[in-house]
Amino acid sequence: MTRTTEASRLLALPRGGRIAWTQIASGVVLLALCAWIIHAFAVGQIEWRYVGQFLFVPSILRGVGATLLMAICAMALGMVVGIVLALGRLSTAWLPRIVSGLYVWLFRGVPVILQLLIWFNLALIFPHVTLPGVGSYRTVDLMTPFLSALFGLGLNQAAYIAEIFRAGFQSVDRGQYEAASAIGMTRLMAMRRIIFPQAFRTVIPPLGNEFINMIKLTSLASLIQYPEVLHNAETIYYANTRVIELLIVAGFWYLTAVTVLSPLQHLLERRFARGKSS
Amino acid sequence: MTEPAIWIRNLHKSFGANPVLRGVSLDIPPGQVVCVLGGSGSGKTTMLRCIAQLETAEDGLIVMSGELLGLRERNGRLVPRSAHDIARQRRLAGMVFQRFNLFPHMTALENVMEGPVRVQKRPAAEVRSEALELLRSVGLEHRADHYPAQLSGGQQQRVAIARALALKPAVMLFDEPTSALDPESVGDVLAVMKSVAASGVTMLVVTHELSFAREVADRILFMDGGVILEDAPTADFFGTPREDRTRAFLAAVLGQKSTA
Repeated sequence: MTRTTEASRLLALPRGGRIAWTQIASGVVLLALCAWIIHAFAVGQIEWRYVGQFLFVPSILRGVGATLLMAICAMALGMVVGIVLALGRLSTAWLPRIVSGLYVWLFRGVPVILQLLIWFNLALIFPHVTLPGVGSYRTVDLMTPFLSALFGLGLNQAAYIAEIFRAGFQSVDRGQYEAASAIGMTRLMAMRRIIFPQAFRTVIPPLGNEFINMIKLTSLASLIQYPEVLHNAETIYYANTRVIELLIVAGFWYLTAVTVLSPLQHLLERRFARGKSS
Repeated sequence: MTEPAIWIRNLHKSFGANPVLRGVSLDIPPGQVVCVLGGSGSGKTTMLRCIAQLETAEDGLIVMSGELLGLRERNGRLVPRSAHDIARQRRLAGMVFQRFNLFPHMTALENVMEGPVRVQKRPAAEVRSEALELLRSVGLEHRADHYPAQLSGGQQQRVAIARALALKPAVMLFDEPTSALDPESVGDVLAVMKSVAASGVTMLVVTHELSFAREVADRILFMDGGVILEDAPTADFFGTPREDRTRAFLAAVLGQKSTA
């Protein structure tokens, strides 16, 4: 028991912290593990000078460009189709609801790699494509690796983005639709001015996540001859057999792209956080 | 006789199997201030929402400012108006919600300007000075650049009133405008409503504030079970209520007030 006279004396004592033994211990273990892995890679059969040598060769840099281009285009296609699907899913009419539901079910249910292969081999199903008023084309000429990858990745992405936006739209209070209606807004204007800006701020973090995923997902397009960074790295190592070195080069560029993008997402989040309680 | 500001005949509305309005008829002359009282589930809010065209009645007609709401005559039948036309008609009345429903991503000033600028397509500079004047009239010109999240409930509701007034409606509808407020803010909002009433705008106010009703209203409606049970000038309503149900309601509410 502490008497109050005793407690008064304690009042003058300086305060110390608790020593975090578990943190110190786990820190030591983690450091040792890191050192071991770095050592393993340093003495392993990796010729690091090849990594440096190939990091900036034109073919790799062109691959990086193609990767980013595909990620941006596929994401853009996914956003447009995804938002339309989300609106369809939330429609009061049954037809758009069913169509959107079926789309999401189909494209989420089939592996992306399979979708890429189907688009690339579309000519096997439809040898010719006729665009009314434009002309008739051989599907093999039309479905270049770029277009196949764009459709495969973008339309698959749309299914996920549709779900993200559906949640975003549903997170906006019903009273916001009513207030917008009450000042005479049409549905479209209410959507554009009131609902969308509020939905958008809740969907930025998951969208950023999807975009990062998309950058890595573009590597699958190497399988259908789209010349992105992994495809070009492979082309080089088929010739010089420096497999691991070139995979590290490709890995470096994916990591760089993702690292640069994360702060951009933060900026976007800040921009759309207007009016969030401060 | 002058055209009524609001004319309602035989309004019916149910949610699923549950009838909420069972034949409401009503005439409100221009400039009159009408308070609607009644217990929960009496249909008072639903009637207001039908007038604001946030709900569609199954039967019955509403005419406001000389326009038949939501419907038009074609080949001897009544058919729904286009969505665009209904959006235009909604501007005939200003609506104030229980939970304010300000746009959270816009400042107070932007909230007030949104309707005139985006919907009525009026020049922003002109609307801006009007909007600032409106904010001044509700005592919030110093909060013009604040977002709703930075305002108290009472301040948000006053901005919401300014937003509704910005479209210069002939009729103002209030749906329990002080029910979601802390007691300190209620007085500020009621004071603003009083000044709106004094400006000659026709007002229909669903409320539980009996003292406000007694002081400001020209006329009281008492609703029960989806119909207007009692409809009387304010003094008669509080002085000599005709219906037993009204007397019971008043006794319950006033009794509760005095013990509180």
